This record gives sequence, structure tokens and C-alpha cells, in this order.
Amino acid sequence: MSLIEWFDRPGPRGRWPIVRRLVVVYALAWTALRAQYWRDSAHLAPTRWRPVGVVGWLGGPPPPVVIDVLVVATFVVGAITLGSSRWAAVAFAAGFVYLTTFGASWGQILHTENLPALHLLIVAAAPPGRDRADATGWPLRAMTAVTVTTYVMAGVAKFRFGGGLDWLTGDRLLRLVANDNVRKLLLGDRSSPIAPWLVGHAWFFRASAVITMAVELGAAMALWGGRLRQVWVGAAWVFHVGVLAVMAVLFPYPLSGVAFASMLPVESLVVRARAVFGHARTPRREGRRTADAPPTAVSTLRLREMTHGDPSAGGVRAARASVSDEEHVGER
Amino acid sequence: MPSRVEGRDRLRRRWAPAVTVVIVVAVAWPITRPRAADSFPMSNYPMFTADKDDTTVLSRALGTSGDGSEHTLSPRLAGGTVEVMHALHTIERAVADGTVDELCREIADRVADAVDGSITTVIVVTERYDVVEALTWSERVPVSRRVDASCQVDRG
Repeated sequence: MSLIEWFDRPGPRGRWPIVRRLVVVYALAWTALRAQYWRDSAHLAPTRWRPVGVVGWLGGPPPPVVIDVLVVATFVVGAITLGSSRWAAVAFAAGFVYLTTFGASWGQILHTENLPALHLLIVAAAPPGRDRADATGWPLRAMTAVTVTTYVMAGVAKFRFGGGLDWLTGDRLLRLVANDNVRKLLLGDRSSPIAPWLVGHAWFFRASAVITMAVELGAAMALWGGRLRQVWVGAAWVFHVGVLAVMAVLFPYPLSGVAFASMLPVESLVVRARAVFGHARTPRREGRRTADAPPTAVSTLRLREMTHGDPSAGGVRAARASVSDEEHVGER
Repeated sequence: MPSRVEGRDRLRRRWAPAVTVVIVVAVAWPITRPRAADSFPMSNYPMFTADKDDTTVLSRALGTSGDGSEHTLSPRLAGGTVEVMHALHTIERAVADGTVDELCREIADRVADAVDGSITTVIVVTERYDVVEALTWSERVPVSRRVDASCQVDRG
């Protein structure tokens, strides 16, 4: 099998439409939450403008009315994107990337927005969600690769900019946590209620530094699929819970799980939910049902027969659609 | 003659891996840039790499009332947006590049438009705190303080 054939293998049946929808819904919600900040920023003095990324190529800050219109337009095309429109996905990604970059161009970059912006670019380039399963493997792999790369790069950055191996002693991390929490207290922002106690225990920060590095550099194991991937996703999620507890820094994209959806069997959750709530399967309509639509009513026995494997790893059993209502198997 | 679907499949097999490689390289490339050259959405991820001291220096905007009491101004008043850290960075940058008087006037204008009319003066201060003391003691007293700018709130 060539590299291209490996990369282009079919995705798990039903996963891409769900992942696509999750990413778009998250980005829509984020657009709504950040709209006020972007609109307020447009009224700041031009002397505060510190352009980054694509907005740096466009000169000075745009007039406030442009941002007002762009926020509304981006939200509207984002809503249309939920309906599998390719052009809307492209417009939504462009609007979201512009607005988040605009918001980052006033002296503070919000790193929680990097990954959803990158995932939306993949959504824009990928099939709109109604395509065949064999056409939707690559966007899942691309999203996974991008997620893994961001975490690995964050780990590498700590060695490159954070004093090399000294970062693992935890001293720098302790001072960072203490500084960050003190500044938040003095500015009236949310701070960690446990930080004042933790700074008296250096061992905690030594252990945290090692765990942080293991999670970030260990993201590469997610590319292997299977149990290793699940372990890493669980560890990464717990890591972000820890960051929230110790530094009051919220990373909503990974904490919501959407950041990892491309590498998780989210299609199985839909199947199980339908089984639990007992939805009757609608009759198949010839020519309308797509190979990517998740199965509906599935018996408990068949749930256990869902094959496991991942297009990103080797040795995957292919997904096959069955003519029977209850014979649906998929890849993990 | 290949069908339209076959043609699309061949096209997809060519550009899909290329698009992925381009995006992954674009995400990884910024690590080669200096720490100060962070960007968006392609970042060099400098978070949690700074080497902080046992003391911290921060600049903030305070409002003083007629009775002399001081109040920390909200980020919307101090920085013009709801983001706390954005307000902090705005103030620190203004102190660093010498435009703090101009910033003080901007803040005073926003305070003048605010509903609460008790604040009569805006001051921008730079303070140094012992980090552990400030974090663990209930009353936070700075080791040192410098007033960088002061301006009256004009509600005329």
C-alpha cells in the first residue's frame, strides 16, 4: 500500500459528519461568546494595534462597522455550514480565522483559539459531510495530525524557550503559577483557590512539569490509534482539568472534547444513544441514504461486534454496509 | 472514459495528503521563530516558558474617590474590552513605550461615561509584590509602587 493509499483509506463510517458538526457548533458558540470582545476591540485607539497573522498584511485596524458586519455574517454562514454547504464552510472558516486573528492583534494572543481555527480550515477543505465514507478518511486524519502537532510543539517550546531540561525541575512552573495567580488576584480576575496552598509544595510542581511534558510530547502516540490513543486523550483531558484547577486557565476546546473528536469513536456514541432511547429505524430510502450515515437501531449484540481499527493506524478491517437493519459494522 | 466520481477521487488522492502536509508543516514551522515572535493561528507556543522572579511587577489602572480610597478599575474601563489580561498588557505596553499619559486620558474618558460617578481621578501605577506573600497573605501590600500617570475624570 502506498503512502497516499494509506492516507486516503476510508474513515470510520459516520464519524466525519459528526466531527464536522461538532467543530462547527463549537466555532459558532465561540463566535457568539467572543463577539462583544471583537466589537469592543474595534473601538480601541489605533496606537494599540499590534497585528499578527493575516491581518498584518491588511494594514491598520478596520473600522468598527466592518467588524460588526463581519461578526454577524460569520455567524450566519456558520449556521448555514451545519447544513453541509461547501461554500458556507469556506466562508465560515475565513470569517472565523479573520476575527480570531483580529482579536489577537491588540497585544494579547488567546492560544485557546488556535486549534479550533486550524480545524475549521480543514472543515473548509473537506467534503461537506454527505460524501462516501471512502472520501472522508483524510479530513479526520488531518485533524488528528494537526491536534497532535500542536501539543508536541507546545512541549518542544518548553525545552526551546523554557530553559531546556531545567524546565523539568518544576521551579520555573512554580514561579509561573504563583506569578499568574497573584496578578489575577490583584486585577480582580478569577484565580485558583488552591494555588496559595500549592506554592508551598515544590514536589507538586516537579511532578507537574514531568507530567506536562509527557502529555505534550506523548501526543505523538495518538497517531498509533487503539488503546494508546485513548490513553493519551484521557491524559490530555485530565491535564487541562489540572491547568484549570491550578491556574484558572480554561481551554474549552479540549475540555469539551471537540478537540479530540476526530480520534474518538463518536459515531458509536450516536448509535448507543439511539439504542438507549429506542428510536425506531426509518426505512432505507434507495438513493438517499449515504454510506456515511451512522446506523440507527442496533442490537446490543451487534454493538459488541463493531469492529475496531483506525484509518490512521495499520491493520484496519474495512467497514462494510449490510442489507440488514441490524448488521452495521464500522471502524474505530 | 473515467466517470466524474473517479476523476474526483483521483484529484482528492492528490491534493488531500498535500493539504494535510502543508497544514502540519505550517503548524510546526513557527517553533523555529524566536520566543517573542508568536503569531496566530500559527503559534510558537511560548506559554508557560517565561522565567519569572520571586517578585512580580505589574502595572494597573486604579480609580480614586473623593475620600482617597482606591478601586481597581474593571478591564472594560482600564483596557476597553472585557479581557483582563488584555487590559494588563495594554497598560504595561503603554508604560514601556511612554504613552501612559495618553492611555490615562483614554481610561479617564471611559470612567467619565461609566454609570458610577464616585471616581474622581485615574492613576496608573507600577507595583512590585513578593509573589509568595501576596499569594498567601490576605492583605497584599506592594514592596514598591510608582505612579506613572494621573489624570482627572472630566464629567463636564
